[in-house]
Amino acid sequence: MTIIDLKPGQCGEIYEMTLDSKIKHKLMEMGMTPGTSVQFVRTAPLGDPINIKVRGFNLGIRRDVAMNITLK
Amino acid sequence: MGHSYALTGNPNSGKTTIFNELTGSAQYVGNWSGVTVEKKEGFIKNSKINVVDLPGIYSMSSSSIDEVIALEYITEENPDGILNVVSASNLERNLYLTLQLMEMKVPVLMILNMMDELSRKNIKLDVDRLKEIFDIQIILTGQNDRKNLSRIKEIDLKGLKSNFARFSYFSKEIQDGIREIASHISLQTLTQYKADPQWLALKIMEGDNKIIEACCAKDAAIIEKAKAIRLIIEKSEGVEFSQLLAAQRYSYLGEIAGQVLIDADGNMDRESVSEKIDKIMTHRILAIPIFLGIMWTIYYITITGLGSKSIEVMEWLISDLFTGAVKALMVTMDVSTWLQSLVIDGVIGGVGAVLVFIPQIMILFFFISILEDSGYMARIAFVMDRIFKKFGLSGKSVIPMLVGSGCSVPGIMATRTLENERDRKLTILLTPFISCGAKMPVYLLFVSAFFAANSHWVVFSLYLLGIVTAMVSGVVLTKVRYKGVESDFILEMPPYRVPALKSVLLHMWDKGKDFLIRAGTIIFAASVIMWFAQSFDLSFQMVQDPSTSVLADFGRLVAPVFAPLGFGDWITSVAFITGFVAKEIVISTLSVLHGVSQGALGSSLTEFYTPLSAYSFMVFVLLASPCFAAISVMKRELGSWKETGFSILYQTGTAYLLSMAVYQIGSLFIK
Repeated sequence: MTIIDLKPGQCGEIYEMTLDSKIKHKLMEMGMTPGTSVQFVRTAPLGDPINIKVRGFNLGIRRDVAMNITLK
Repeated sequence: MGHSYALTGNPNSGKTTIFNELTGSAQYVGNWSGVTVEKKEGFIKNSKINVVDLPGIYSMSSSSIDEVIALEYITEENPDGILNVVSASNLERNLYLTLQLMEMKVPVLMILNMMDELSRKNIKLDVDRLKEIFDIQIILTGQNDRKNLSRIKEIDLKGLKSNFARFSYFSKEIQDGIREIASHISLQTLTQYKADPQWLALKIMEGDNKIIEACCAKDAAIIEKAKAIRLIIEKSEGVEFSQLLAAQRYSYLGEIAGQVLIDADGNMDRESVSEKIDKIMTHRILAIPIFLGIMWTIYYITITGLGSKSIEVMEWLISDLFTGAVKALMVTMDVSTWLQSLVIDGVIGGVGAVLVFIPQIMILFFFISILEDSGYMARIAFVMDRIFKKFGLSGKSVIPMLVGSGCSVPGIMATRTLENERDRKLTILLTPFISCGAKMPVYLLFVSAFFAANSHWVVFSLYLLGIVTAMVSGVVLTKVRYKGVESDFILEMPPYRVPALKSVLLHMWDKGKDFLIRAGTIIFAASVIMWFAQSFDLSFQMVQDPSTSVLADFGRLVAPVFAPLGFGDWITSVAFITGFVAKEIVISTLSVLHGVSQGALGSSLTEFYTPLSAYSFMVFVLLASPCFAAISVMKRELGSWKETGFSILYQTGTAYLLSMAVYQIGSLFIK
């Protein structure tokens, strides 16, 4: 299961991120470390990117990134 | 006390507002050493404490230009202390930066901002516990309560030590590694590169090339040793070293947050006002109409509403009041006619033609800074990313482009928030296609002379053409020049906030000042040169008719190049060439060369252009290479003359071809 599979409002816990190391590093420095709770807030009007909530703040990431973040 | 502090903090932590609050109008802009990037500093009011505003960053690694600037400033300039702005309403992530500052073992004073935002969320913060953990002083502040800030003056940071248990949150292997490497750093390195040995050890282990180069590039033994330790740890953990550090720091920060944040009604994730606003602003159906509506309103007020009123006032001030007074004064002083002509036609004609539009440019910046400070700009990027992705760009490119609609210079500088190198380069190249504030006066002049009935639509069509050209160029250049790499989009969407009026006005005034300075220097000089060049011929004789002057000779030489675009006259050619100096100069040139004041220029233009060639003229001004100021920023940000040269050629080539297409195709239909 990945972030994309969450329904709006639903939460999950980050298990693994299979991403390009630069993007992964950036996301981790913003607090998306394994075990962190992520909430799926909504999809942008045109279907991409998506708005998620981590550690109390809102973050926009693209679907192709979200698809590679698996949840526990 | 004569101290120097550096101000750091996350983006959206309110750092800039606090900087403005601390320094008031006593700030000045300089350059960072090495990279010449705008650097703001100022003195804290009623003190001798100098504060340098470092770029807003999430982390102290070297993964973006902003991070490198901040890191280098702290390690190389050795400020007496760090003022760290922390947003209380986003504690864990803001403390990530604090943790890294503490690891550097530099004196830190925490400015805990957004306390009011936190209490609106009904969350309490145990400040004493936080103070205890980091063993530093904390100043509490909020958007509506800045009085504590004045206490900064009373605290002497220099030499202040903290007993914070740095590195204690790292695994034993990492801690051992730090100690091991630190013990091997030579005394010579430490005397040359004044940094804490354990922090340095951590950086060398991380493989931070910027730091390694600066401190110990020649010490191959230690680099190898650090690398060996890193590889062992990475192998046993199965994670990259730097990611391991991030994970361990955050797990500690999670603990801290658990200790200091007390949720009064046990519902930490309750929907905030900001999130409710977002339901509408990023709504599936409403988002795009709202965005277009806001933009339309801004440009309507700037161009037709308030803006055109400000132009009328300025015209009256300059053409009627000021010119009349100067003329009368010179007549009574019996000044020679040529000098009168230089002052009235040359200087006042040239500089005045530009001054008229400065209030309008300031109005535009007023709105742009509200978009930025309110947090809506991030939503625009979020909503538009899908479209920008199609054109090979990131939604974050929206920010430079919107700022660029005021002026390309800050627009190009705003590209620094794009962490993907490819996105950044492409955005720098395309931002000048977005019509800037200085080009607006040119349109307004031509539109009022040729398209008075449909003025909005003609100006709108030009803005649209700029956007379309930028987008299509994005596709073309992605295919041709920036193959293979995808664009990125990772963007924090900060809570909506009411912009601080002081910051908005300061920003507006700063930009207005830039244009004023340009009018007083570059445009003044160009106007004088232009007047001389059009008043004398090759044998230095004053001419009666400008069309026999040196300038006319030169213009006629170039004119054939522009003939396919619809204008083969020398004045237009000269206007285009001076347009490379600054776009506003196009009007000054026309005004000086036609020998009429700004007010009468419109009607004299109708003798030289047809509506079709006037449109072609505007298209060229819109798309051609930006002004000197923007070119020099492009060079700075792209870091190479080759890339910059390519941009200039690409932009000017596009302008030439599109103007020609407009004129030639248009000629088939309009006889």
